[in-house]
Amino acid sequence: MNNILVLVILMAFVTYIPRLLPLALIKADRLPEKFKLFLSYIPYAVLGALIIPDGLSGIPNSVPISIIVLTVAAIVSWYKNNVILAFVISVAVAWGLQSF
Amino acid sequence: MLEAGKNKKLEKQTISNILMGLKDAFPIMLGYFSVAMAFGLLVKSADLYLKDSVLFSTVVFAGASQFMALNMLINGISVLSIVTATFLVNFRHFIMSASLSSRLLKPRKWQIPFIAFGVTDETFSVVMAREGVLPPVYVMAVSFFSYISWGSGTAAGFLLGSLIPEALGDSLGMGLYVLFMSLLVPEIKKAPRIIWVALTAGILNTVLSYVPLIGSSWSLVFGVIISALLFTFVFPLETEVPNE
Repeated sequence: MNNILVLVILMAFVTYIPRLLPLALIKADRLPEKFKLFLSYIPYAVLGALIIPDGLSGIPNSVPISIIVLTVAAIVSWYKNNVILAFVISVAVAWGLQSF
Repeated sequence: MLEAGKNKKLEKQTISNILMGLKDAFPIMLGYFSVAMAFGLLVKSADLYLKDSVLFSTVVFAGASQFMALNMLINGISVLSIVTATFLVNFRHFIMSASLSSRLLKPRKWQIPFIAFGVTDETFSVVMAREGVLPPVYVMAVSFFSYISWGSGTAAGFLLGSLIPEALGDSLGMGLYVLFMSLLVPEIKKAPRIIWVALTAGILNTVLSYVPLIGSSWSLVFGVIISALLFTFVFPLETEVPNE
């Protein structure tokens, strides 16, 4: 029981420090242009790395359904830039395909 | 008079930033609630207490690493190993915080620790999809609502088991990947070559996860950094990056 508290505190510490340091140390207005450019690519790279490969098995034990759902999400988002709409339609498709 | 008018305007802005944060956090909240329920249920099945489950979710607030830690705990792995693994899995937030810091609009000193605590894959991706500089209150609002949903979902899962049918729960969890896709696609539409930045990072993440010593905890960090470096220095994109 006490062990859990110790574990949680240590986990929180090692999780928080990497989250904090860049925000505490980097001054946005004093960055070289190339470094800013590099940082501006990070979100797209992160999204790519979050989707591939984990998203491809986002529905546990069903790669085909996961891929169909991601494709639906991509198509909806291409035509309508509306995250909530894409979310609702894709989740409905995921649910429907699993209940099938 | 002038001072009062200024304060009113600021107050209005604060409220609209919070509402914008709530709107953007909405899909995260749905996804988090169902994933957190699964976590709460898992804690219960490991014969731990409600307060343990809520402690994990409210103090650590990092999804994947909580599941990992719990599994390691159940398998009798030492605290030191669990903490080391947690550090490795969560180190990716370092690169996200760095990227976020370049877009924040003059955060106050007291706001920085809160903004930092709220950085997750999902909150980061959502706020960075906004254009231009980011008001700190907006960023904090997105994190706050996501955090509330993560914490309450954990308690709900522990107390009530899975209220949500398994197939719907899995679909809502899948919703987080849908969210990533729906943030990425409009950016690709604006600047098609962004697809190469994302694909390169995804492929590197997959390939590197099989390399000994790198494994799946470092592969995401390396994949993201290598991809961003490649497109900064080796293949600079001709098109403007929309968020610049």
